[in-house]
Amino acid sequence: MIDLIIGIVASGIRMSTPSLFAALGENIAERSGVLNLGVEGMMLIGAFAGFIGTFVTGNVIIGILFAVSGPMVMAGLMAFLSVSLRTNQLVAGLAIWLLGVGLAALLYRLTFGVVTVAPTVPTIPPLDIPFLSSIPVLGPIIFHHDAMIYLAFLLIPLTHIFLFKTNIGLKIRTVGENPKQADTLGVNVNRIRYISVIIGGAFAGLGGSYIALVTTGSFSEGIAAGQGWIALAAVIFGRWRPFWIVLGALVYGMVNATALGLQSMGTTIPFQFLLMLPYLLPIAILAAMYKRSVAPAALATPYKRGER
Amino acid sequence: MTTTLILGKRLSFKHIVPFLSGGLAFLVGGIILYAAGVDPLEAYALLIKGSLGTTRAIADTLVKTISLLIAGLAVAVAFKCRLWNIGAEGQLYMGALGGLLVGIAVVGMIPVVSVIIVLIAGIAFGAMFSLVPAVLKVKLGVSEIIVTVLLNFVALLFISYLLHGPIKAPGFLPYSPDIFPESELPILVDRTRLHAGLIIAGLAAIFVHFLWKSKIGFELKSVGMNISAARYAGMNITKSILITMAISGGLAGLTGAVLLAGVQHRLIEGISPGYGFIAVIIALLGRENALGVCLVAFFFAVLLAGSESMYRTLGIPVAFAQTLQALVLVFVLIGEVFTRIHLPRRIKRVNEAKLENHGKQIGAPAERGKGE
Repeated sequence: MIDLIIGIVASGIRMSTPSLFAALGENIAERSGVLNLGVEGMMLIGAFAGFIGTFVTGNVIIGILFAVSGPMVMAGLMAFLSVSLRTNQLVAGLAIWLLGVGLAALLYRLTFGVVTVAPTVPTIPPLDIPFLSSIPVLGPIIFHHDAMIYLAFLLIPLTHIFLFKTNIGLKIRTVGENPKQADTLGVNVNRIRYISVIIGGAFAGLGGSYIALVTTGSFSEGIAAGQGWIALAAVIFGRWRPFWIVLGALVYGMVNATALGLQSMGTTIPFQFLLMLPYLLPIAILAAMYKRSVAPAALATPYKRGER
Repeated sequence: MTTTLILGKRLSFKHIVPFLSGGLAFLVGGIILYAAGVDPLEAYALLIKGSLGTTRAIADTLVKTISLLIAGLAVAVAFKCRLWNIGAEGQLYMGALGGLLVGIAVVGMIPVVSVIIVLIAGIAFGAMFSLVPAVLKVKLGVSEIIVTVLLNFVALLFISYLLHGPIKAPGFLPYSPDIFPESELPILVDRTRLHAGLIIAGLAAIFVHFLWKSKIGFELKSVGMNISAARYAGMNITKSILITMAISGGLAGLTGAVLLAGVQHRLIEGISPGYGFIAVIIALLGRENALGVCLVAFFFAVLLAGSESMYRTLGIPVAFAQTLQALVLVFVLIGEVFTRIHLPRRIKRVNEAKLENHGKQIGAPAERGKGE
């Protein structure tokens, strides 16, 4: 029983990682005042790019570099639409989402054609941290994971420090709260927003590549399975604070892992209902949380000099 | 005199831009195809031939238009009122379920009545499902975007459960039983698949067109455009949001019921190949009005039908159509900038005054491009 619980918790952490990456990045973009609904599309591009990069070069590091740069281009497009052209951010984000969904599927099919057996790459193996991984209970839960998880958990304090303790973080937050004031103080609003959105893209790419390179070792069209949207929910749940966002992503991962755990134990609950839980729970949490969350004041509003 | 000339010029330019943007999307699509080693001209010729080349092809394109049109209207109604309903796909599936439950239960009716009951059940199921995010929005202030997206997954899983269990027809595959023949939408043109759903889709478009002209429609729009002004004018915000979502979800449900009664005649897991998501692009490109949605829905049906023949002949993945649709949206968004270049009001007024005084045409003011 204890082994089972350890297994579920450990796999819950793994399952929360893609949306954790994406949510940490999206948080930076939203802090600067840009709501990028295209996370899901960017994750799919990241998953595809990471997969193809690893497949072609055989080097997982190069694969991850691919996975980071593809979505950064998408995010650049998002920034161009929403920051430079001042398109409605929701519309621009939806466009990025649908473009990512289509493009990832198209490029995959153009590369591999219709195959009976999906091509695979070796998944990134777990890494035992010496000594720590042999601690009972805690060892297998926290210290027996792949390198990308450690990177994800390293990024939590790093994004916190980045946003709240550095000069550029202060600029990002000011631009998101009061772009006019930031502009008056000599901050280049558009440049800061571009940077933030593109960082968000890189993070989404990391999340996407985690699915392709660790979870499955392959790519398929629906591989992100809504995790980009879960990331958006996690940002709201976490009230735009990295340490709380983790909690949102972890809840999603744990519920998912528990559902799959129950399924493998052979419960009488139909598996479809178990699989619904990770989608229903964020809705319930948002319903419970929403009134108390305070979004950046300038979120989803384009900034134009000289306007009220 | 001069002013009308400028106005006329600008209006026509505004109308050309979306088509130029669409053309650019095809150019980029062509480049992708060329890079993949396919002759883009051959591919695009096939696209037209496969969707409009024969009577049969046109009929199949129209069958796709039906679904895209109703689903596009569903999303357009919500978007027009600034409700971001991305859940049309799930509502479509629930609508198909509603139609199925009636279609396999009600027997011995006059065919027309029977079909109408099936469609109404579809509308009711779609509307009810869309009320979940609507109630969450008005009662708790939860943003409808994420909720509607996530509910798509819930709906699809629920349908999957039903098809593997309670409503599974005998046999190996997860299909529901067929609906009774009198519940099917009749075929309009012999030896094609074109069914009477085309009339339903037309009626839906007329409904939406007149909705925006009606008093209720005006209220719904006003709430979406400026909530505080609408409240000040004494409009009931909660009621408006619920009605908008119900109409939107109802139309999405109707899409599912029409697909069921017109094409599949039973519920399967892949009854919609993502029509509810394509509908998002259609609604945005159609500028949320009925005629625009009609045109874009037909254009996208051509793309979908054509891409199937591109796949059969040249092996170009069907995802090409999806990518092209998203590209059209991106380019139209970029193109829109050129249509809404309007000078700040004060400068414009000064310019107009100058125009009247000197009869001179004024170009862009010097300030432009200097800031930012």
